[in-house]
Amino acid sequence: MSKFFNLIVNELVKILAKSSTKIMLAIIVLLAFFWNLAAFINDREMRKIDEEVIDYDYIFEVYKYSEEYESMYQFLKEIGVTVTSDWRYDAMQDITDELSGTLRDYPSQREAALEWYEKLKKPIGDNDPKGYLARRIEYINTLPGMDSDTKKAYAAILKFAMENDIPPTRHDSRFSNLLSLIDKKAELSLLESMPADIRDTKRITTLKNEIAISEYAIEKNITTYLTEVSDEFSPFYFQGFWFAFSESVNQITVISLLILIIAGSIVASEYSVGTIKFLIINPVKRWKILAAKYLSVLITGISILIIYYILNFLMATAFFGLGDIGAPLLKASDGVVTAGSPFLYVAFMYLLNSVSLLAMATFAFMISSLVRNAALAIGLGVFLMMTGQGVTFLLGSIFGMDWARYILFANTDINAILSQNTPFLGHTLGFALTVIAVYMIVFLLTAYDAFVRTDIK
Amino acid sequence: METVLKLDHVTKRMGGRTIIDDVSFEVYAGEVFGFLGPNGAGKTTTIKMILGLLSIDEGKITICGNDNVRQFEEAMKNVGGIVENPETYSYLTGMQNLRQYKRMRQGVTEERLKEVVQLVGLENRINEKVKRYSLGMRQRLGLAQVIMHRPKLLVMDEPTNGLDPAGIRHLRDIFRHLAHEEGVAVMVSSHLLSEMELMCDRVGILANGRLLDVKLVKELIEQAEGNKRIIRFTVNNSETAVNVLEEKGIAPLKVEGNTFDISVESDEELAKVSASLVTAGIWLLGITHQGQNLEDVFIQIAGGGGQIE
Ligand SMILES: Nc1ncnc2c1ncn2[C@@H]1O[C@H](COP(=O)(O)OP(=O)(O)OP(=O)(O)O)[C@@H](O)[C@H]1O
Ligand SMILES: [Mg+2]
Repeated sequence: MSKFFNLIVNELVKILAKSSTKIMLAIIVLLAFFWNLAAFINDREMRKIDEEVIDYDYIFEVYKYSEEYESMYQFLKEIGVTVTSDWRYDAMQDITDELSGTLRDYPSQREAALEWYEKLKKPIGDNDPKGYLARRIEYINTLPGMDSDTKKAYAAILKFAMENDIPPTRHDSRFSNLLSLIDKKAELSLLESMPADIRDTKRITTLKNEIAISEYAIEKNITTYLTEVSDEFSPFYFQGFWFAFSESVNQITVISLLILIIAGSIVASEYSVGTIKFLIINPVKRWKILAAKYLSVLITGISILIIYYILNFLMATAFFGLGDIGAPLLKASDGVVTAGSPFLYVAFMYLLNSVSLLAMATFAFMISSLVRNAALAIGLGVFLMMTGQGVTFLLGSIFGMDWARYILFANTDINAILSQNTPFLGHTLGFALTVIAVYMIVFLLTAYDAFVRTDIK
Repeated sequence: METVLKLDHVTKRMGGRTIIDDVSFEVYAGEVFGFLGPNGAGKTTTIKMILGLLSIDEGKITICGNDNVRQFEEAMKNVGGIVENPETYSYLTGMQNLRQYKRMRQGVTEERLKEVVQLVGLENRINEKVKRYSLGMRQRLGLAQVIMHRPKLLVMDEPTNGLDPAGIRHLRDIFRHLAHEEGVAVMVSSHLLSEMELMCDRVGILANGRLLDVKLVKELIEQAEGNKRIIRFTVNNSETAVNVLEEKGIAPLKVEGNTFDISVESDEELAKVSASLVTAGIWLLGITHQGQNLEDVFIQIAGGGGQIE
């Protein structure tokens, strides 16, 4: 056993000493850096749009607004609103939109509308969000063209915002959550009213879970959180630290290439320089040498993924700071919400995205020991990784998906399988993992046979 | 004598040809065994089978009593060997290369590593990357790799390839030391008999995949002595001298400037040749013995005409 451990140490020493490995590590560091830099720049742009400074000169000179809007901007300027993220900006926009809508659609109610407009404008002018919300609740009930359920729901969230000091602006995540609840609940009741046979049950479940999460976040006063939108299975958070950190998972494709290089050359390189002879004449059975090499590839692969995970954490911290680090991951099933650690979630995403990497590395390893040519093994591995999925769909559409689901590449996208987003019917995680395992066993047995049986000439 | 290596009716076929045909021999502890044969005779193939690199089609090979196929690990514990060139990991240092083998062998201590580094004379450069080594240095490193675990059998394929004369002598001394002082069975292949003559106690002669003969080097020399000797004369006028000898029916083997070689069977014949030259008024400036012509014996046994079959 200790001898086998020594064999693995030998392989790792060789992998680490190779200059190609050092280049690889440098690539990984650069990759993490540039990904986070890009995320940071994107984030800043988005925040800039979000917190746009209002350019009044430009508005008054260039745009020819209708009377109502012209006076709205005049008013905003007077009360000293300078950025769009100010709650008064949203509030004025809302009431002005409503006023101009009423004037257009219900000209008979002009007097009442103008009266309400002034009433609502008052607390905005006084910078009093609570007062504004209180008046708005009253106002909602007078609105024509809104059904009573919606009115009730709307009034309820406004009341909630008022009681909990939530400013009525979309820039506040709790308030925008409250607003989205109305839309989602409306959609839900519409869907549920459909006849059972055409009812979209999947969407209903998703909506219910989303509503549960929003309500949970509002109730617990959580402003920053991640969710896993169940039909996409991806983080639902578009900014800052968590976006950069969780989406770094997409670069695993690049990392796969690096691991393919190691897997494809670990056996072949011994042949190309002739050291295989020295390896074989030791008192160690050939299969042990092969197994040590395979395990070393796995260890290296896992280490690289861990390094990449840590690097991304550090880089995201450097760019965005640790402000959002305590954000929970909210998950819901059957309306019950649980809060988990997004660190674990990101790690899990790394793991899922590594499944095809594992299969391809094993494939390249097999080719490497079969043809003893590193370039060919790496090339084939990369080629299959790039085209495998496409070719599988093509074959599937010609010969039928039922048959194509036994192809390796139909099963490597675990993400899609978990969210039931594959064209292969009846695809379950268990099925996919079984198919992958069978392929891997075939690959490994082939590699074993080639390595153990052939003459070393 | 303790048998360390035993080949028992070994046959190997490759590409539809029989490369090694029913070869049997033994190598004993404490001797240097020369494995001699012209290019393409099958020396490397035989050595690869001994080291477990090639499968054996018929027959079997045992090392210290262990079958090298069925008891591979046991058999290989007692073996060190280099086939063709000593290959090393060029991106590792000399010492890191040695540690690779240390980890695969049992009972090699750090002290032992230092000892073998010293033995092969690489102390000053052992912590350098191997890619900066010369061929001779790589040969020395290769040797250190295969002797660190004190193998009972050392198998070397053309070990003097690429070495300078001093390096060859050094290697020869190491082999003789290992065999005669430490009781290792050393098997060395070569196609140069002159080299074998100085290094080996016994030689096996291989040609076209068949073992023709196994002889003590001493016996070989006697066989050569029993044949003819080559004598080189240096004279003032070789043209006249050659004429004189040809009149007597003696044909010189080779004429070069003022020297020529003739082959004689006995001292008497040599005396006669010298006397007739002196009588003809030729100055004898030098007479040298060109040594036993082992190459002749070798070619005679192996039947080589330079034609690879
Ligand atoms: N892979 C192979 N397939 C077929 N024939 C081979 C193979 N390798 C070697 N041979 C043949 O086997 C014979 C013996 O080759 P081997 O290399 O053992 O000779 P050798 O005695 O070591 O020669 P040299 O002195 O040139 O090194 C040669 O005729 C060679 O052509
Ligand atoms: Mg050879």
